[in-house]
Amino acid sequence: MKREGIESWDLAYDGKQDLHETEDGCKLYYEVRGESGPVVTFVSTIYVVSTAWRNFTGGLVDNHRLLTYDLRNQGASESKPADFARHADDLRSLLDGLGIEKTYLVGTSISTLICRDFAVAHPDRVAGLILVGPPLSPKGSSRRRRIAKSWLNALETGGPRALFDLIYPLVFGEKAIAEGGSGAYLALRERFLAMNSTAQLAANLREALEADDKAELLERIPAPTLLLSGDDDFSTTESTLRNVAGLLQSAAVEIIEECGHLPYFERPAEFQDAIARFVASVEGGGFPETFVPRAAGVLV
Amino acid sequence: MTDDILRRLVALLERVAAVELDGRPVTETGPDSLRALGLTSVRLMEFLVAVEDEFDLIWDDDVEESVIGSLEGMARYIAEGAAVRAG
Repeated sequence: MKREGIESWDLAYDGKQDLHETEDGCKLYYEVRGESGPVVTFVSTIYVVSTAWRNFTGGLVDNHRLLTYDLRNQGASESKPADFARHADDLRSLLDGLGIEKTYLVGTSISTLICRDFAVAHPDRVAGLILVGPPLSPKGSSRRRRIAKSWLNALETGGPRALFDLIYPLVFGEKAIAEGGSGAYLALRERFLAMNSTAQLAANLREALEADDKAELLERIPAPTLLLSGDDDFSTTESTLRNVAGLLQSAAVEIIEECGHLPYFERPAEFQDAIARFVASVEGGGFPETFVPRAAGVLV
Repeated sequence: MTDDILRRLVALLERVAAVELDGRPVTETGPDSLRALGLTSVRLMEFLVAVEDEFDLIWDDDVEESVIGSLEGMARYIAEGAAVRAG
């Protein structure tokens, strides 16, 4: 695990408070970086707040405009109850408020479902999708929900530490865990416990239980889509991603070797390179033919 | 013994986290004292590695969070380990 990956677990809000208020009165924290180029919006997931993306996007900021934000009930955004579907509405509201007509969307883990819902509801506003470690399956939500339920049970019976102990060896790859040793584990655990309350984690996990994979929704997505995953990702496999890509109208798969569920943590350079190549391919009008996966990923 | 270990821990912390502390001495050593400093994960990891070197110990995953989050807790943990090693 690289230093920037570990550093990124820190809640480094710098006092700047740009907030967008949604139609139902929920204030969302956001950051915009970069002066020119296509807009790339990073949709945070349960454990990754908007500020963390700074550490994974330094190589993109010169040629792209980057938007990151905290979901409601996360980080510096307000806590306001809502169902999972509300996140796509929040994203639309934020883009409206910032005057962004069209954007690339980067989702990770459960937030790939937010991106999917947004792409179905607002296809004209999505230039492309980058779905990182997507827990999507043509076979439905059963497995993902069982995993989320086990995480919620761990949280409710053992608190945030039990949850962390459950997810740590899942979300990080074998290489990262071996190289980080107990020092990385203890430091990340301490920061995880300091940053996350039981109530906040429980609310987010319950939302994840609500989300439905609905494979048929994938067939309705016209946006060019990159399915990006580590080959040591607990939540998916290359064959599953190929099957998902087969449902999408225009998609490619790229696999990062010796990497777990969070490629931006473990392999930030490869992660950013994949995004840059994907955006360039789509902007050039030749996707998927002009997109060449870095490793052994399969062009679909 | 624990007081001496605590003093060495504080000195070590003030050296490793000099940038974050910006010259401020570490005065709080009770429960959550280390957590309250809000060190980055990297700095905390560097401190843990420095503690390993200073006290000739190796952390393991089963260390309680009260040990990692508190200077006094860490000092007690180190003293207990030293006592066990001394027989």
